[in-house]
Amino acid sequence: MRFLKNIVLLLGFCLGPTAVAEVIDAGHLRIELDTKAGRALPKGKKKDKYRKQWKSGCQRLGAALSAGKGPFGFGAFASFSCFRGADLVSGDKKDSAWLVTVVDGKTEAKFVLKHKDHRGYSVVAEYSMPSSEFTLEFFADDEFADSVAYALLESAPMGRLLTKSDLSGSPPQFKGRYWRAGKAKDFKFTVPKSPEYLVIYRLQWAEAEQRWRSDVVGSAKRVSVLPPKKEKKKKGSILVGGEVVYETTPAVAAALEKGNLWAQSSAGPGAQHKETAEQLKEAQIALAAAAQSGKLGDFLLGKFDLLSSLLSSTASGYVGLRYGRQVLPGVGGLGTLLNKTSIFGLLVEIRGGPAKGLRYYYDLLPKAKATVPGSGGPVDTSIQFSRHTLGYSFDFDPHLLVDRVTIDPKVGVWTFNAKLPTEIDGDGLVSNTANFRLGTTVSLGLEVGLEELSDWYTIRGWYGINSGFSILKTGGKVTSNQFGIDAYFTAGPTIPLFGVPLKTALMAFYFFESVNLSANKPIGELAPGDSSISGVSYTVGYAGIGAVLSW
Amino acid sequence: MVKTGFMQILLGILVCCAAAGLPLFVGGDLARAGEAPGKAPAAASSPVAAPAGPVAAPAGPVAAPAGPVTAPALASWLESVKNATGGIPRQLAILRTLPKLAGKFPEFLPIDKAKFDSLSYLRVADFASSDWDFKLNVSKLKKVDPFDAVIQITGADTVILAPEQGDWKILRKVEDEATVVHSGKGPASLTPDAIISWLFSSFNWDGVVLAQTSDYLLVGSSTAALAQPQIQALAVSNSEDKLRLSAAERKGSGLLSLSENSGGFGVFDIVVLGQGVTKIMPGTKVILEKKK
Repeated sequence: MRFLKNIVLLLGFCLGPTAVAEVIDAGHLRIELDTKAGRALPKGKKKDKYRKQWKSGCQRLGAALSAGKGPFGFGAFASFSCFRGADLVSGDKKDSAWLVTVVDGKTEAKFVLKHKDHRGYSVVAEYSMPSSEFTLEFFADDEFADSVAYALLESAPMGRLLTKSDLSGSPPQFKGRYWRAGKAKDFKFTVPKSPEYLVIYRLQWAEAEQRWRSDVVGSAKRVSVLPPKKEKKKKGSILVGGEVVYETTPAVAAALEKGNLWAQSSAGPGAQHKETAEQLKEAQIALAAAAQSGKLGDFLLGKFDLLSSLLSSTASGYVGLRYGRQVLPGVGGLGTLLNKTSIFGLLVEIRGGPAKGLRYYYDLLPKAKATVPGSGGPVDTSIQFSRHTLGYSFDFDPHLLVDRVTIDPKVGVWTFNAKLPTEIDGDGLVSNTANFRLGTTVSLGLEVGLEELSDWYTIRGWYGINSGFSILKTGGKVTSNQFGIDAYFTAGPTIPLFGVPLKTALMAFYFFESVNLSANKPIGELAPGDSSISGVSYTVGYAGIGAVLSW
Repeated sequence: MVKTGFMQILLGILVCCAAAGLPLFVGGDLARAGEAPGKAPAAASSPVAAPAGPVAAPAGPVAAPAGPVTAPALASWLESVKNATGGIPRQLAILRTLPKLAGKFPEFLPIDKAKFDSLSYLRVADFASSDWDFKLNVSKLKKVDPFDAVIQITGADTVILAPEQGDWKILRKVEDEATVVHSGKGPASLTPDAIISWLFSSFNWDGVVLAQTSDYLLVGSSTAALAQPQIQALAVSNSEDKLRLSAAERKGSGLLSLSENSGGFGVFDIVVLGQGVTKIMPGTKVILEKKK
């Protein structure tokens, strides 16, 4: 009979769904600032400051990710150590199956939780938010540290560790601390609700199947939430304390006798990802606005209100002015005219808040005139246009070759009027001209840009196509294909204006443009047997400089 | 294996009687009137439902398996069980709903796993853990077919779809396709006993050979059926790859006798094999003697 029992016991193992699996217990966490994907380290004193900010920020994040020490009692790791790249900053240098990577990037800041098995690391949770040169400073705020920690833990296969000592009372209850407001008298951002129900379980990672496997032992229900209370300080008050209490079952208490358990929101890991991502973004926008205004310290103390901060954030943007002259060598009468042209450009871009990505372009080619030799004597020619365009910029980081790809669809109005040579005789003299009075046309456009970013320059290659359709009977169509390169250098000073720091930058640019004009009716007086002329094409190249203000 | 010459003669007579349509087991009713497929099994406290259709005993002269009577080697025994293929349902997942679209979650039937597992050799996936595993692996299952996802998450080889309304279905993966191998009215209640009874009734057999070593067979069956002392059984010929038997398929290829049992597992001696039968393959279905 004993023999049979052994068989039955082993059969149970054989018949089960899993083979060998890694039992997940509260382990060590490595928190690493990704120095390869991140922005270049500042130089001089700023470099030391940046390093200190990382050390301090990492320790705050690590503490909020530690078992039982995170918001709502979340927290999954027994210990943590901080690294800057491969360099140990604080904690012990020991092996860890868990890694949080912080990317303080040029285009975005990212927080990634990874789990390692024999095949390598795999991403468990990932959050990204707009880049800010002050991101590491934000960790000085406990509320921000809680936001990042909770976002990662809420998306992880294990949210909080539950130990035997956590339970008390009958029916058994356990607690967790409330969200922290930092040094402020009130919460600065939206505080997420603590999960109403928790699932309590043991966890394994089945490497062969690349699946998480659980053994659910019970659940817990939130029975009370005690928000933090205001405590008076010298010059005001701060929020302290607060807790969330959960009630569970004796079965969970019995299971804890055999070892620690995990708890996670019953909605499942990542169920609140969208909300937590929004909350994180909200915090980042407010903090970035405060930091850009040089008022981060005040903001963290609650002395710089959120509304002002958000308004400031919404107003963050960019204005660029540029001027360029035609530099391609022109030939003939048309070339003579085009050589006299120059172009002014204005670009306004909203870089923060709800209208982020909105762009306004104004391009002006002032009227250029040229009197060119003609078959029947001097001929007057001219050209001018102006274009108002609204665009919206979508951008993403392709993680390959360039830092950012932008795609800008545009719509606008294009006024184009020209009197251009259309024919030359055997002696190279203009024998015919045509008026291209397209009036105000509806303009559609698309621009694609590739950007390489650094702390002090931005190089941008771009291609754009614009097409204007005249609504006049006498009108026609104008199509412009452009490609060019812009270089921005943040070389100028920062000028305070109405409390907003305006940063200046210089730019240089060159673009090549191919314009195709077509009319609705044949151009010029046709002699019998002549073929009709339906349009004119020309190419120009403008090089110039500009100035940029950003705030 | 025949223990004594007298036993050999006696069993030979029994097999011949069975072949002639005479009652096979002393005090038993193995060859009994058929029961409509899909009929609701008895309540939890009732005995295991009778298999449908008559059972034909092994034909031809009796050939006694050869070889010494020794205890099976544990390692090889288990290995053969582990790798045994064919129509052996072992791990079940019982669902209320099975979505059609990838990325959607099935709904598991809440069932007492400990109780269910104690009633037979069959194991059921814990509904709470399975449900939670779906949530833990949601990102990995976004593009996986729901049936495949259930199999991956629960490790089930057989899926019972038990909707609140309509017929219950038994599904298996056949040639990489989710295939309904049986469909019929569900059990009268959702207790583990009722579901186990319904399953064996639907399969139309009482047990399955998990492994053979020498003259021993390891058989998985229901705990209640194996609890009957000195029970005898028939191994059904050519049944190793069939999940469900029709009445016509219930033909014996060997006569077995229970020597040990624990829970839903029993060790049977091979008493006699049918003509030309030298081995009883894993997956072979077993019809148990029904003692009154």
